[in-house]
Amino acid sequence: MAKINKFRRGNIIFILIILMLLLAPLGISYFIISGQAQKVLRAFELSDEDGEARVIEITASQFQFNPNVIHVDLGEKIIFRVTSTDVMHGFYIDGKDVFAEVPPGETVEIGPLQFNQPGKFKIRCAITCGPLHPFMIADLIVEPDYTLFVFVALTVLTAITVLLYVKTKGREDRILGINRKVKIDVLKRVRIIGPLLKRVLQWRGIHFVLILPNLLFFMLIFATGFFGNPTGNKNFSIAVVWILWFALIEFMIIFASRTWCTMCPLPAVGEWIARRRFIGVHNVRKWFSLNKKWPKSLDNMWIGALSFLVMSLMILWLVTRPVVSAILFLILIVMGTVLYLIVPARHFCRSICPAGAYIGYHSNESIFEVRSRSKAICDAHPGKECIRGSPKGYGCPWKLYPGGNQENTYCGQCYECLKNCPLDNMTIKARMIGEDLPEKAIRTKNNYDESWMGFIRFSLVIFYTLAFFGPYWFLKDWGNMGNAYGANLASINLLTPTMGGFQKWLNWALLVSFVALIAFPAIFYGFSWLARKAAKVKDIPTKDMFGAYSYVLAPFGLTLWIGFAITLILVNWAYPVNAFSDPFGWGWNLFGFKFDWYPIFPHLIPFIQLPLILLGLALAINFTYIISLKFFNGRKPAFRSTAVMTVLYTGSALLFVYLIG
Amino acid sequence: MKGNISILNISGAFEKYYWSEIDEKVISKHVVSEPLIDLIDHIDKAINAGLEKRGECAYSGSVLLSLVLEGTGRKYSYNIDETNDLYKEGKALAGDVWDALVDGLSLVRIKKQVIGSLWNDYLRRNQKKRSGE
Ligand code: SF4
Ligand SMILES: [Cu+2]
Repeated sequence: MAKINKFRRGNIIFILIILMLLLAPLGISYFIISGQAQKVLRAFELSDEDGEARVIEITASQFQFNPNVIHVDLGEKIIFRVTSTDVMHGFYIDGKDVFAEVPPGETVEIGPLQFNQPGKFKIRCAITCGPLHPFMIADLIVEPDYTLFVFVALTVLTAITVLLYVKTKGREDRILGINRKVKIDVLKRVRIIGPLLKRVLQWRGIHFVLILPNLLFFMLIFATGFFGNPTGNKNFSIAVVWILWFALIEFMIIFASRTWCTMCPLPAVGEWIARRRFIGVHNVRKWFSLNKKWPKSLDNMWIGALSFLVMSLMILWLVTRPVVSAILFLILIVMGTVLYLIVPARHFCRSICPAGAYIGYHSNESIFEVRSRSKAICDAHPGKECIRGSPKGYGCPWKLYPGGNQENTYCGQCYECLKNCPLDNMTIKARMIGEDLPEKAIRTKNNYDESWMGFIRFSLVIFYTLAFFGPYWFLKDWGNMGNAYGANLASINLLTPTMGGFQKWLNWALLVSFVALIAFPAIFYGFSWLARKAAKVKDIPTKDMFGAYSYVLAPFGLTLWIGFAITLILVNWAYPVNAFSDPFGWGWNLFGFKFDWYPIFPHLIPFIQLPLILLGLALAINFTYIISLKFFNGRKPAFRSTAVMTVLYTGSALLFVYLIG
Repeated sequence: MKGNISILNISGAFEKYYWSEIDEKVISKHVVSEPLIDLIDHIDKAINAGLEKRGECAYSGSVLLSLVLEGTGRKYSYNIDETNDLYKEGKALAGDVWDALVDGLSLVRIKKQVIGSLWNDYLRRNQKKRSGE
């Protein structure tokens, strides 16, 4: 008894330490930055003496500011003299009431402004000036940049603290001090909501009801994509999909795993046709389908990972050209439908869909799972309705054995098993982040599809951050195929890139693919090799360690993506919101609202992102240690190899910190 | 004999899990054999639809189980023996019925035969119970 108490106390202390560690960045950095706390609140003051202000000349043109990185000194007075060389641009400095219009050909003076808050700020174009307008960004760095310094220090500190934690207290069943094996049977244990949820999920109509609105949105996406305003941020198809949906998905993964796949319209049409039912279960189980078998060699994440990469290579194209997005979705929905009519199961979702691939990959970090209450019961139950189906539901369309399933990756949460099981053995559980990740990492030997998904996702969050929020125009110009102007169907020829544009895009494509597919994995392999050396073990091949360790990129990458998603929403929330009122971008106002674009707390974004980076880093280190413990059965070698990997993780975290801080 | 469908095991399972659980006042021939009738209908449909025998017979086990649960007003069984027995017997019977239908026995005849012998069995077992009391 006493022992248990002691453990609990130890747990609580560690949870507190971790919490503090995560909140520290906010506090400490704010404290340091503010040196003189009152001044922070009015960091940019209009100065009354004009005399000594320094003039900074800036040209604004589609879609860049020149210079794109501007250094000023703390306390310095600055006048920005902004000239537009082409169309009307806006001039906005993050979080301040600086908002100017710069008409074509004219020069506008802004200031004098005094900078009393050190750190990196974004200068953004505030007036829609063309397809790439949301990407028109410059960095303003107020020196000395304490913020970056503090961020770096906190990152290193976090790495060291977590390393010390695993060295002294690390256990296989604890993640950051929390028992990762504790699960809550939501349907049984949570009062009122549990039984209610169970009823809802066992109701056959739920799937249809969730899919229908999404299908209608999809139709709207096609309509607006093909016929609406060709400027992306004014068009429903772009603003809602690539800002709202794209961001929300990352949160959904953490809280609800693959719940998107419950309501996704892409495979739904094929499923309905194959089942010859919208809702019910056909009592004669005849698929309207060719009933082919899915080839084993394709039953993995390779195609999905690559299709996510390819989609990302085109991302700047996709997010600025409604037509291109609409065409992509059209291809996906046709593929989803046709594949179902060839193989009547969710193989499109398992192996092809780019979203399905990364959602599935990260879903092991979710605090949510659909599992059996007791696997023993399932194993002793030859009926296996969850696989074969019953009059109450279809056999698992994802081709799992739900009763014995041990990971979220391929569970699309269709809840057929919940409807099927006659023993009431399937349920939803709440659990710790990445509860079964170490076991999965060890189990998955000689399969590297998910490893590469990890490398791709991790590399791409960095490229996305650069492309969406970085100051370097040349990267965006590359990714954009050098086509400055957007297009709609009426001017489809503009969609065909010029030779020069295509060459530029090749730079981007090669750079991104090289980093994601070769450079980062190679570095990771190198570190795994070093980790193996450090652990002084002979009987475990480097490739196994490489494969297993690569799974820690799942939680690490996800936290970075969540940081990206938060930024996306805080900066660009106005576009999707307005798109509901004016989906085609024709100036409608269906619901009577139209918000001006302004970012919410843009100067605080780095302080929101940093704790997420640190959480990801901490999880990565701790999971590495747990995986190592499983490999080596000894604390010492486990710690040593973890320490080696930590260097790599910290380096990657610092890279990201540098981008945001 | 061709088309001989044995209901012996089924009636054992029914006695244990079905007949004893029905809460209807008047137990008729129809009530006693209802799940089986539906099961036979299901197999007939499956054959006509050209489905494959093995998978469908296994599935029929689940069909029988769910019919029994429905007939006794339950959503689940918490007794794994029950689910397994009913599944097993349903599957076996489905195989017999399938063969009989394929051999050309008419649906009506099969139903008559099955219902008849099940009802006799039911009466016999109840008789025994009553005389044992
Ligand atoms: S895998 Fe893709 S297509 Fe399938 S449900 Fe999920 S998001 Fe939709
Ligand atoms: Cu602009």
